[in-house]
Amino acid sequence: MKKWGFILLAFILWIGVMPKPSSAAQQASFEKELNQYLEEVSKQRGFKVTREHIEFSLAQYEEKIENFDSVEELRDFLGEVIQKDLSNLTEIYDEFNLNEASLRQLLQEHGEDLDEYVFVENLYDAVMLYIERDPNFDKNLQDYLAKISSIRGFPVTIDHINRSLSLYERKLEDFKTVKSLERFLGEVIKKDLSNLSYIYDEYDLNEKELRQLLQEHGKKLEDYVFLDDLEEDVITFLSEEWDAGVEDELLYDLLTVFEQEYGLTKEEIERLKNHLRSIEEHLMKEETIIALLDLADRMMAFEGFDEATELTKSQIEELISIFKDFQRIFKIKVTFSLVKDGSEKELSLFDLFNLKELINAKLKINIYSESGEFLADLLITGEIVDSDTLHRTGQTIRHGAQEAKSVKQEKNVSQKIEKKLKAVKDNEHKTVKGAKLPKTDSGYGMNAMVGLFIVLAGFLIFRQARKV
Amino acid sequence: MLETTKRSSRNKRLFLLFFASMIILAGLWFSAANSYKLFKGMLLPETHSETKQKAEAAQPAPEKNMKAEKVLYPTRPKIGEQIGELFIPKLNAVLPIYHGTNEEELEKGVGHFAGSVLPGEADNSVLSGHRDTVFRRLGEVGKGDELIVTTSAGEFTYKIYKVRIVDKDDRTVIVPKPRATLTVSTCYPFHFIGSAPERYVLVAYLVSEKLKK
Repeated sequence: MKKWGFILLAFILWIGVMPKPSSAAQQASFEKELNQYLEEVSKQRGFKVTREHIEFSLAQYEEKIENFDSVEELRDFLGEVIQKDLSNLTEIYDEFNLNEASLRQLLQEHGEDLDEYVFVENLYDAVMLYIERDPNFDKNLQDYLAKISSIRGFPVTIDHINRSLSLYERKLEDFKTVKSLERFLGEVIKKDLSNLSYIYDEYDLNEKELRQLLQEHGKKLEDYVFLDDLEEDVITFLSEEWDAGVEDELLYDLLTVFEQEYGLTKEEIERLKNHLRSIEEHLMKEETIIALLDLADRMMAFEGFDEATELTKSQIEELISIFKDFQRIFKIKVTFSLVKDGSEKELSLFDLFNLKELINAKLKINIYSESGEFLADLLITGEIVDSDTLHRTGQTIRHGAQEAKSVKQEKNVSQKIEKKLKAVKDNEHKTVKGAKLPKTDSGYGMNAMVGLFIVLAGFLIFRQARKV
Repeated sequence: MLETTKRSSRNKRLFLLFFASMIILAGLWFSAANSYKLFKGMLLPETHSETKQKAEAAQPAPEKNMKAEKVLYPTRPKIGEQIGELFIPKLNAVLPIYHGTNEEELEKGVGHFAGSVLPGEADNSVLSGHRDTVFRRLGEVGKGDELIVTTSAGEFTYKIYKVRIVDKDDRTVIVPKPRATLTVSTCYPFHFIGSAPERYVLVAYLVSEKLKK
């Protein structure tokens, strides 16, 4: 029943780290996966792509390989690979009015070669920087505004565009063509709101709830022209709620699972909730968060709690020590006892982790507050544990954890996107294009020699003059 | 009659002697001044001393998340001002960097091309130096080597990813870059006598930075 121990720990861990997710340690398998990934990319790109290529590509966004927890994350971040037949560059061609020859020419003018690029995104950003501004920009912009006005259902003006761009610290001047502006701003919200279903699904909202969420933050749906801007705000507003404290609703969801599966009474749930609320201030403290993150890292070292791997004694000891620290942080005391044939036998944590299965017995988990006040008890029967229930509970918890994680990832992604933007963001100070390289012959050596020749000439004249 | 001829020829001789002396003096001065500049330039690279390394190591590692939005250079340097140091680990040499690439700056050390961004900033920061003084041994530095620039904003480590040899009139080196880049150039070939027809260019990208608070 090691699984159970893990799940319980994860439960506590999850509540603990939910508001401020931690970073997992890089896994040992990372290198292996990275090599596989490199091989795969090489095959697509048509030449050998090395770790250096990846490092170089990441540097464009001020990122490093070490900052990624998994190769999957790295892959997502780097995006599409330029195919060896360049078949997937059509978007770039289209957006900047280029073809293969003029693209190569453009890169050459900047001392580069297409082979230096592995990923579409890197190339895109470079082209965006290198290319001259479209002379028809203003005219095309008017056409674009007219087009999106009819989609959105109200007149969209340049002010709308500027406001949207300012969210990403961009200016209209940063764009060289209207097509790239269009790509950057993304999908326009349709006037009948029919394309909001993605946001509804992703953030578990409906139109009414969405409107309410916006209203709470002094916004309304009509303030938004682009889907991305709306989503950005939805994420921000929702995460504000998340950060506001120990998350109520999710906590409640989780406790409900316990209620259904383990016979927790409403009073017990209330007590647990109240307990967590009473220590909310303590939980939100910087030291607590740091301690939790530290514990989370130690937990992560065990790599997933759903694998029934055999644990060594020292690993079990580490788990127990983590468990104890969690209890300390959450100011709870947990005792375990085995209920068999009407008699109760207290179990130590060590026994718990060594417990193989529950046959004809019940595991009772008593949760007390630090002051010894009884909060709740959970009863787990062998049948429950051996049935799908445990699995289901595990899944629920995992799902919850993943939800928390996915919001975290989205946050990360948007941070990264912001970073991406920043990296290419127009700087007040720019390097000029195509200046002549400074003359770097000092000529000192030559001049010294010339000087000596002059001296020699002087001597010759001197001698001649004396002869005269 | 003879007297006058004699006198005039004596005058002429005196004049020639004086003129010759002047030429010798001027030649000596010119030669000495240039030799002085050359040797001064050659002696510019300091070795990266132990104590310095220690001092750097003692600095606390800056917080990763502190990667700030802050402006690296609140005030832009003036031409001729020293803006920092370039450390080339491969050559174990530390060179002063001056803002500007006129002869006056290049005489004192490595020049920072004023039409390019400052080290550490996104985009291309261009440094140039004399091939016969500060960058005498730049040919030994190549792909994969590091270049470390320390300025008022912090310490920036760049990794060389490209070595180029281009014509002196090439316009593809000083160009904007989509990433923080350091371009170091000098004349090429290194031992050419006279005005060299090519440029030796190292292109490096920023791999890490330690910002000063």
